[in-house]
Amino acid sequence: MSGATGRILVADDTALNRSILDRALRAQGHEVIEAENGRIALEILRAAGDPPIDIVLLDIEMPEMDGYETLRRIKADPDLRDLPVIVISAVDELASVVRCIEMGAADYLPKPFEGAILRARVEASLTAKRLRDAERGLLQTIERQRTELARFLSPQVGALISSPDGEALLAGHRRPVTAVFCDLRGFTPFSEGAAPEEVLGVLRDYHRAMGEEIVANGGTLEHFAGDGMLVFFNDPIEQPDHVARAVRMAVAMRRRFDALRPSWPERGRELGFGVGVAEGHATMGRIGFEGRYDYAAVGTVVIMASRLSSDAASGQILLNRRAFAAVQDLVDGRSVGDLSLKGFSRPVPVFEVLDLVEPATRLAGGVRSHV
Amino acid sequence: MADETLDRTALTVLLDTVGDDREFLSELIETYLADGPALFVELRGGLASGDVTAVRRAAHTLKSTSATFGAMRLAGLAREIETAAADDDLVDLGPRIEAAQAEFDLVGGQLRAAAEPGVAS
Repeated sequence: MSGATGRILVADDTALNRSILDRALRAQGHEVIEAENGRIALEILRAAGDPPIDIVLLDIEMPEMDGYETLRRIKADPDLRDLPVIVISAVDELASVVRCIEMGAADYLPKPFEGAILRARVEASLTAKRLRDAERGLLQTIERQRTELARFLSPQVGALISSPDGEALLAGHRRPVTAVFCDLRGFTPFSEGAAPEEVLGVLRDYHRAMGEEIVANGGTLEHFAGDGMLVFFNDPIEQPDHVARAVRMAVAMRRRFDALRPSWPERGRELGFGVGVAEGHATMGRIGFEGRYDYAAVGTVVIMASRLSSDAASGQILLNRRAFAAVQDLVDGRSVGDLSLKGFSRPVPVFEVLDLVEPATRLAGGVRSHV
Repeated sequence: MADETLDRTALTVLLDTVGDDREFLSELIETYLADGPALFVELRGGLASGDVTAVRRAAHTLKSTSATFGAMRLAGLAREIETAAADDDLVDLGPRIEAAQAEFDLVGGQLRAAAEPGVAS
């Protein structure tokens, strides 16, 4: 006769009304529970866990606790507030129906009862309830997936995938980014000579420290392979100060590396740290194949950052011209001349950052210069 | 419609609502008729003691259940009593309650007759 059936609580002080509703709802395939006033209805609702009540049919005029108070308490209870409440009302009492709808009632059922109207109202509320339940289940799944994703992906990429415009961004877009590539000098000989646990211990320290700086500065870690890491800025979240963020991160990473090195085993202390920072346009999006996709940056800017990192001496942070131009007021830096980088046909002007010149430092420096 | 003692279409709707169970309809009618005297006791008692809430509640129930069975004139009388009680106006309620009682007695006979097989369909 009908698709959806449910457990329905009928709260009405008139036994005759309860009998009629009970019979009518059962004839439509529903399970019915009766309450003779609002207080009893609330007790039943709070005790009913599994299977839960799907709908409440609520009379307004009742002794002990009337329909208004019952409705108010249902809507104030976090466990019950999504429960559809259908108010029972005589046609000449529509003002009270309006009040109940304003209080959160889903619908109203006119008295005297009519089977067809009862069926329509109950089924509509039941469908809404089923949808809401399904939605809640879906939200829980999404939340779980988001948590899982965050453990494997950078937080920005995880959030991007879960966001409404995620699909469009994943499909591919082109925008200016700052790419940062960093790796360890002397890591290959170290990893060949040192004990495996030493190698992994050093990598763990290094990844943890660098990871903290990536997060602190809002970078997107594209990937890490052994000691090499590629981080980019201004994507997927736009950052107007992306070059400055990248340079601040590079300087902080170098400081962290210098602090870590003395704690490493002897051979580890010979490791060095170099960084390349390049600003330019890149194509961002999903690359890979079914079963394994990555969110990646493709473009000269990525290669440039990688080559600059290769050319950096231990402790050196090298920038391309565009990156340096964007931050020259913020850093103590200088040109290191035109370098021939692998893969680039002409020598490229390269700059290095010695340190940050944050406003406070600049002021202090100025005072000193007058002494 | 408000002047009719019994609106038979209401009974037809009710019969349909309870899944065409004629026997159950008869039970409902008997319950309604058996509940009536207690409601009139409350109406008269409430009037005598000035308990407007008791009068309003009893009149509300009488109005609602009478309308369910198509006793439209009785439902109308009960509504007048309910409205007067809600307005705190118990003057002149005595004659109205007695008019409702007379109408209720009339409804009883007509309802039982109407619920006979073959009539309310």
